[in-house]
Amino acid sequence: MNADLLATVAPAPPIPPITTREELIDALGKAAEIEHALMCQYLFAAFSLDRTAPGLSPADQEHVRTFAQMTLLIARQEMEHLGIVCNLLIGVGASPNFDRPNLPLQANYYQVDLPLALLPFGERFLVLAEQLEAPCQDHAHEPLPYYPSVAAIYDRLRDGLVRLGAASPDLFLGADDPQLTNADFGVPPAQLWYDVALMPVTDLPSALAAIDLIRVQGEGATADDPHSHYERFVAMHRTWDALPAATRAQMVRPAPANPMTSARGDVNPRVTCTVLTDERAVGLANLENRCYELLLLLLSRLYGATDATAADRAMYQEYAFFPLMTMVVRPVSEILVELPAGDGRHCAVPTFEIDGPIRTYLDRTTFHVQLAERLAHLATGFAAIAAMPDVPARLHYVAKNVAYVRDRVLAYIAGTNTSAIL
Amino acid sequence: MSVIVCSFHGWMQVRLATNPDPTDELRGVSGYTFALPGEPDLDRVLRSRDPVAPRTHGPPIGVAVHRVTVDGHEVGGHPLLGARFDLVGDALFESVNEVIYTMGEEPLEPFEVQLSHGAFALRRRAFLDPTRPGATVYDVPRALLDAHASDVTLGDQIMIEATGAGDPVAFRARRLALLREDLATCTDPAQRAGLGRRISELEITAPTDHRTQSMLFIETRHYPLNGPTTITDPERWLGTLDTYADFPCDLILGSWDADALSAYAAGTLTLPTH
Repeated sequence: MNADLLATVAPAPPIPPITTREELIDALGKAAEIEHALMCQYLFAAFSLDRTAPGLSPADQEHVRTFAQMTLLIARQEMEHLGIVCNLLIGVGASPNFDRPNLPLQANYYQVDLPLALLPFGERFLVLAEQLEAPCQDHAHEPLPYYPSVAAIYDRLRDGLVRLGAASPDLFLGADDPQLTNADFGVPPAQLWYDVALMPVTDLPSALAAIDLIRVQGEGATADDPHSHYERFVAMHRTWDALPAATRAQMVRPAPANPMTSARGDVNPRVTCTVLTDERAVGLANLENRCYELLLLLLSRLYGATDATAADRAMYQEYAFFPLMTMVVRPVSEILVELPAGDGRHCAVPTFEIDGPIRTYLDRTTFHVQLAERLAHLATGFAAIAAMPDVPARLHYVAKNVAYVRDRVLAYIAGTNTSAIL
Repeated sequence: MSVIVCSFHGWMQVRLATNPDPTDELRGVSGYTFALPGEPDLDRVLRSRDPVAPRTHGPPIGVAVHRVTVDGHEVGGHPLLGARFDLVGDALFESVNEVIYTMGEEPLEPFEVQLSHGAFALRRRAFLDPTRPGATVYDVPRALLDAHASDVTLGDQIMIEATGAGDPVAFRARRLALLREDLATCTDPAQRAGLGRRISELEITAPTDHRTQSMLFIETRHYPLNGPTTITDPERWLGTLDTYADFPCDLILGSWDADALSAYAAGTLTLPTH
């Protein structure tokens, strides 16, 4: 369904400005979910690229590497945007939001006049990404019944923050609550670190600076800012269009759009989805989703958990960002695309499904127990699939590393007052 | 009893993926190091000789003894002057993206040293756990990893020693100019693609960027060589080597040239004799 169709059913009223804290929190919550969904979309597209496809010319090898590099960079910055929005949520007195609905979603799910979907890299993906990241047009300041792109969401948020900040001296109720910022990584406040910068939100100027960073990275500081997501996608699209069709076909694996590990009722029913059926692929995709969920749980503790000790926060941070993101989620995604989907046509792919809401654990002891349990299940599960026939040997390395992380976390817990319950 | 200290310096090659790529990434995507078209996969090995696909304008790979002291006194003309200092056995940086250890501070493992000059050869390894020679970084207690970890500091002294200047931005700008000149005359498609990638990386000039700042990282490791000693010393240059004692080896790595996948190495190997 698109905005035109909606309008034929009932004339939608323009999206109203934000005038209360509740409306601000609702809008920030949705922004977090959109950023999170965008991150998954871009990761999915990057993993669908075949960077080692045989027969590519040296120049085309560099083209496909650049497509993957840029798409992953933008995905990291969407992750950063999610983090910044969570700091905004905490700053105004709400809890962070690491939840999101499963993809694909129909257009207008978030009043954005575009669908959100897991698409392999290619024409459809690039067109959608460009539309989502498009800068605000002049007419964007007119009230519309939908957002033409993500930038318009931040226009409204900025406007709301200015209005509420001027009217409510106590808008930033959570200024002292735990947020995740560059300082936690020992990085100076404004410095990009792996292409991201996490900013604290404690007052109106810092909130507006956070919104502006998101906008500059997305739509650009100027109309032709080559570092904006929009211009990066436009540049990739231009390169893509200039490639021969046969070369483009070689660069992308036969990845299905909108994959899932089992039929689901919580996604857009009008879109064709592909259910993975290969036993190894289903098992591995499910484990990856569990790992991704664990990562989100760690993040939810890092952001806003007031009972976490400094050592706890260091431990969450130590495992969430590097081992789980870079040594599990990414390698497993790259292993998945080397397995068959099971339908005889497609390769397997990461599905980025979330089973139920991401709960924020309010108590460190119960969280630590479940952290250890979840890591133990992951270690056992990865080892079991690694032992299956025709699974890339790289999975043994993943399994070994997850087992090591499990043991380190157990050692941490044993050294703290959460050990007695285990 | 005498103590012979051999000071060495030179350049090593390490073709490794950099964060946020996974440790076992073979070509390089999200980090700032890459296997270029036509080059073999990245392998993480710290090489002191026989570089793999060495890059144009990179430093010559090789480490040699440049100073020898005996009981604290420099010995000019010592036969070990000019001896090759090599890491053998495919030493790897074993952070595994923080699974094992903090990045930059991780142990080098296996750490096995060879000193060679003509018919002379000395080889010995620093085992993480000498009581369990087969133990890997995954198997040993934290304290043993700590003992093999690096002290990391930031400074320009190693870069100045290695390159004659301590300005990473200027260093990278000079390399960029050279590569642009090369690209202007290069017609080979694979080389052009590789040059294009190197140039695009060198065009990132922010002093705080990893590519630039890491030229000033200095990693210092202290390893006791504690495994069995293999020695061929026909001229008895070392006299009677005390192979029951550990041989302390200090290794400093710095001036990380990400474009050429090379780092400057300096340090000392201490050899106790009877």
